[in-house]
Amino acid sequence: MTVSDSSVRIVLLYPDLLGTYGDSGNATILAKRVALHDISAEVVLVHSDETVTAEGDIYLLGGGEDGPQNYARDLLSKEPNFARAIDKGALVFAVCAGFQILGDSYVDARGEIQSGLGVVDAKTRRIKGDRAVGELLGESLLPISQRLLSGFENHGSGTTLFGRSQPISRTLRGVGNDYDAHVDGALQGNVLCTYMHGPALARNYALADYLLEKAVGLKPLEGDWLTELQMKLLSERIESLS
Amino acid sequence: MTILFEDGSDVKLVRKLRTAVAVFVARAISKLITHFGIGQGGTLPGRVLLALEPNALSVLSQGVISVVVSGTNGKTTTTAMISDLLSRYEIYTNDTGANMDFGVAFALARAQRVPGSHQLRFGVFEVDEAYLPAVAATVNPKVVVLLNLSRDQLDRNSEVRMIAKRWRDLFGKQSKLKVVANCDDPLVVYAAMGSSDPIYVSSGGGWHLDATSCPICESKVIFSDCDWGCSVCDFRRPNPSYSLDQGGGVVRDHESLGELNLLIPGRFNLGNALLAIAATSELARLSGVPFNPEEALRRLQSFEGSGGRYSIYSLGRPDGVKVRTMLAKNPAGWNALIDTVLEDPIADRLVMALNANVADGKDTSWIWDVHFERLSNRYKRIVVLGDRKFDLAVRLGYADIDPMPVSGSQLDALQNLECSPNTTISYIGNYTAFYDLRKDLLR
Repeated sequence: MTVSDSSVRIVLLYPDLLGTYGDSGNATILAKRVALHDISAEVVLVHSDETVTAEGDIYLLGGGEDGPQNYARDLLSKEPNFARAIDKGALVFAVCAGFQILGDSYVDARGEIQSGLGVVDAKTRRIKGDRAVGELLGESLLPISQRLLSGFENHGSGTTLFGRSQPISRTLRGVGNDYDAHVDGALQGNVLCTYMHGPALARNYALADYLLEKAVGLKPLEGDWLTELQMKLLSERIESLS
Repeated sequence: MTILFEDGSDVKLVRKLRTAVAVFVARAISKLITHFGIGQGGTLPGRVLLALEPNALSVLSQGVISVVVSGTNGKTTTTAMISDLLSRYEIYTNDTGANMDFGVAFALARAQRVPGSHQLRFGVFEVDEAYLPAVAATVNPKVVVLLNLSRDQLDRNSEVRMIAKRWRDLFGKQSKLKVVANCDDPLVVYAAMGSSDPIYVSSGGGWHLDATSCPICESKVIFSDCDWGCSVCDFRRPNPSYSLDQGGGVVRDHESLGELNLLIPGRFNLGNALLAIAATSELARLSGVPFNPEEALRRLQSFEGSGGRYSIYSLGRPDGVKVRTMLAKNPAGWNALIDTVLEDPIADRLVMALNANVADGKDTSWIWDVHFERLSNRYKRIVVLGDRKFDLAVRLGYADIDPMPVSGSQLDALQNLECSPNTTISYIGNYTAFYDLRKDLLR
């Protein structure tokens, strides 16, 4: 694992454990968008038998099944570099199972309550209804150019926010954090979480740029062909729900 | 109506009669469906059959010597290969792709038995991974072929490890079943180890992302070129009875059986062929019929694929441009077909299509697990079709390939695509996209 100093370092945590739902695409998207600014980007893959670097600018966590989720929590809780990076202000973007382990607690497949990493003021229990599977559309609560956030959710647990965490969108279609929450995700300092797969940043270009601005101060991209293509994808997804 | 039960089977008379009525109704429905061209006529009749007589599968499979093929990718092709190798016998097969219990039941019901025939009857069935335990318990196959296991349709399937576990339990319970399994896939080997004496075939495996941790002790599984093993416990790749040598020759227990050449492309199809040979050989041995491996290899040389997979179709274009249609449903399948396209020196035009209907899985996130980046040296532009063409377009864009989304019918897009004369377009589509196009091509 080589890390040079001039480039933006995107650390993809445990793709072998939390890589079931295509969320590693978020790393591909962020790296390419950095490159479009003529700045070099580096995706650092950290597998479950490797040590986490403290020198990342962005840390990504994806969705995964219950067993690997507990294992990823075990590994991260013993990883001083991850806590150190968060203290230094690195940005964390976590999806689904990744979101759940960053909270105070969550439930696993056997219904046992597991303690989380306590990075985000959120707790996760069995969802209050059927497993949430389908398109998720929300009105953005973030200061970004995109009014609507769109993704695909697939989770059997529901998350309640408290304390300093704020949701990232108000749910218009689908479930989001839970049936009675009517919101999706969490934002707390430099940690942003969501239940959106797709992967989330494939449709939500402005969310990708928001993460890059928060992490390394890059301004949102405008008028490039990839953003244009993503705008088409986003509007096609929104229209499909109307 | 044919007399169905002449083999002295021990099924109760009432059940036989109810089954006979159910078969009659199901066949009639199938005829109507085929007559009005509203489907291939396997799903609805099969469901009606089992609704009218829930034991129909058990009744109809009496006296049929069966082989069942399951796994994430390659079921239809491998099943068709085995049918081909057994074609001198009376065969029942679900070649319409209906691969749940009702599909197998209707495959048995639709065949009209030759009256007075005392030929051996063979059943060659592809079975959905989740349905394998139930179908195997009812049909009592002599041989089960296990291809591979990887992520597929996550919006409705549970994790693949759960499936491997259920298979393993099944083989523990049905000890007489002969398992023919791909030794290059750790999850398949884990399942096959539930049986007492499986036959291992090295049929290849390029997709490791679902087997990175050991199914026995959860430690890391280490993969090298064509070997794998757990880093902690003694779970490792078993030695295969069947494998391919470097020159494409089939080796069985250190003895060369001859060369394997296929008309259809794809390294994974060589693996499917190897499994088909091993399974047919076992089935023949267990049912006391002769099997000649040289003859089998010769027969497979002219195998043309099944259900339009790898078929070449005319597009009716004056410039003679044709299309080769290929089906891939999940990341392992797409990655394998990308290898195939890159190995093909004449595949100069590539078209891809993506839908997200229920049969495809509603979540398209998995396309980010496909390594489209590998295509970027050869293809600067790729035409994308289907309901979810923009998902593909964004994915390809991030792989440094210029996507060209085309709306409207897929056939129109192929007919109007700019190509050099007399070339063949390579088309890769997922399930419903592929069948939409095929329907138009056959019209």
